[in-house]
Amino acid sequence: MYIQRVFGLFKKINAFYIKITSFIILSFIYFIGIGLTSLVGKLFKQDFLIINKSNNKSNWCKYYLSENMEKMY
Amino acid sequence: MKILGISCYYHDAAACLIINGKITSAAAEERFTRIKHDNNFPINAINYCLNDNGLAANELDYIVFYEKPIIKFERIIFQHLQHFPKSYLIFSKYMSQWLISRLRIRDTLKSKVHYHGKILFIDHHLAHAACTYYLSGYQSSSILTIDGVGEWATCTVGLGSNNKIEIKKQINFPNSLGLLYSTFTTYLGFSANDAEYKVMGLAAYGKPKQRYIKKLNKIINVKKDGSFSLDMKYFDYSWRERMFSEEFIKLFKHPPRRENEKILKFHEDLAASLQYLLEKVVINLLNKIYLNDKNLNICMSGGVALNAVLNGKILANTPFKKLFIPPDPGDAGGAMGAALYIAAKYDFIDKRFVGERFCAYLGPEFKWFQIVKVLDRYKKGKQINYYLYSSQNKLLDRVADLIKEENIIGWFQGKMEWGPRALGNRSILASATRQEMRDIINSRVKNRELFRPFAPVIIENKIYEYFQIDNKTKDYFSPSNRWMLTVYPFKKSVYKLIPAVVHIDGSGRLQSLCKKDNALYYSLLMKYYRKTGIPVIINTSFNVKGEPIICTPEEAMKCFIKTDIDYLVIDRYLVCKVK
Repeated sequence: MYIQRVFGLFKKINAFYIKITSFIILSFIYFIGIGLTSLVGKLFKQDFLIINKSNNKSNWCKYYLSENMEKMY
Repeated sequence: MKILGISCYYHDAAACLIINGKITSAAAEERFTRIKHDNNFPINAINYCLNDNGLAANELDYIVFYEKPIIKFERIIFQHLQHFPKSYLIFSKYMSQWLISRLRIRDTLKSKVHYHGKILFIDHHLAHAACTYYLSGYQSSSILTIDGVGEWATCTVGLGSNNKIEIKKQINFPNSLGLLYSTFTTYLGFSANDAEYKVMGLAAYGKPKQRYIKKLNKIINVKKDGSFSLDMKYFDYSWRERMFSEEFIKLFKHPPRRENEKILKFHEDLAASLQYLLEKVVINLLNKIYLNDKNLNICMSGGVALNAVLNGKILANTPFKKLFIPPDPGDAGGAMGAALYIAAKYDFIDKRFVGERFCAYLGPEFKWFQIVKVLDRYKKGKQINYYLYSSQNKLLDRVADLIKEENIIGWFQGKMEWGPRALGNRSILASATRQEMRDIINSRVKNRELFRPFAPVIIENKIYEYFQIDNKTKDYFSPSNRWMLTVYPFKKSVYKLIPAVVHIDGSGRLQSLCKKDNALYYSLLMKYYRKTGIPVIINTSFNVKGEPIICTPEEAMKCFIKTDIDYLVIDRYLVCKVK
């Protein structure tokens, strides 16, 4: 019973620690990795999602079949 | 060759097994976990497929995943790049899931399934296309897939010919008809990726109004070649969870409806206008596809192909003569599509099991002793009594009488259906001859919104007598009708005969029934027809609001006990409650 309680406490601490760590790491990735790239892109007027497409007549894009099915891309 | 297709991590997780060209088992994960639209790794569905066929995971030749995770991840990163820093909340909420599981499919398959063989990944929309084309049995056909979003694509057009699929072009995120419809679904107070069919049902209560259509035309720009784009100032879905923007609310000058708020005329008319616009855009696109391909067959898939009202208008408004939509055109169907694509490429697809002959009963079934064990437990608890009918004929006769006497029947037989609809193996059945039956089932059994209609199941050769589908040059006996994927208008002369299944606009989402599809269910309907002269009854899914369709005898009993279903027919046992 006592060991179970201690084990449960450690589990909670562990979960809290994981949350804090992932929050810090993800925030770092977001603001440094995504943020800097985004700012540089925007400086050069990069439209990442191609929202303002110049060709107004069609919105079709060519489909490229990824030949290698063993790859995740 | 043994091929397992899987889909997960977005909408509906599922697994499908193909052995030597035949689909042997398939099921959605939600049926096992009881979480509606469960998108977690489908370990239960995979285990079912393997156990049902006596296979160990490493006996599989391939496991195929229904999309390319890294390409999808790339799109999500691009969303954040576009919307930095607004997208921080959604980044911190979902990114860890990507890093822990979604990008680590191989590891998950090793750790959870203990599989160490070949793993393949195919494009999301290619899986949709394969699901519809290979099941259709057509030699050649145009293919259209439309959904919310896959990797980048939201809509693709292709051609299937001689068992090969060629996708020609695509429309990319964020321009998406599926997400457009989902955005309105949330604005109208329903949940996205779940309740789009409620908006479709609600649309029948309203009328498309010019003032809303004008506003919708500001949101979507349809090009001459059938493609379309959305004005993204009205949408926030690419950077936060609420899908519509403040501009969207300003445009319609109405606050978004909350879940339990009263439905107003505005909501009904807006739903009708949206439905009208969707039909216009898709039918225009289909006409362009026909002009390009000159093929008389069309196969459709993707979540938008679940819009049965739209599907019912396709043959009448396009030159296509045959329409095929698979029983599950959504993401769960991607598991089947992925497996079918690999089967066609590396093995073969047995033509005896596709097209007209494809059978959608691919889920778990239970033996009589498993059923009796559950029934005995409830009988001991003095909650039920049950009777065994040694003759199937007598059982069907009794059940037909019970339906005629306006009882509500829980109907549990054989293998569970594949796809989101109950097709007569996990169904609630009732007479359609009384107007009030709809409200009774909605309020006392299903606990759902009163405006929602019920679907009629009809003997296949009676379709022309009951529905206004007079153009005999087109093939209205599509298998899609058997899977409740099309809505047609009823003939006015039958409104009074079966008022419980006639929707407010005079339409019905039919399930046509033929003997080779489900002999027992067909025999029951024939018995009822002989007794009443009416070849139609209500068929609705065996579940209550917010829950997936039942899978096991235990779930059938729980649903039976807690609702006002009068009798439960489970295998050859007729179960009634102790009062």
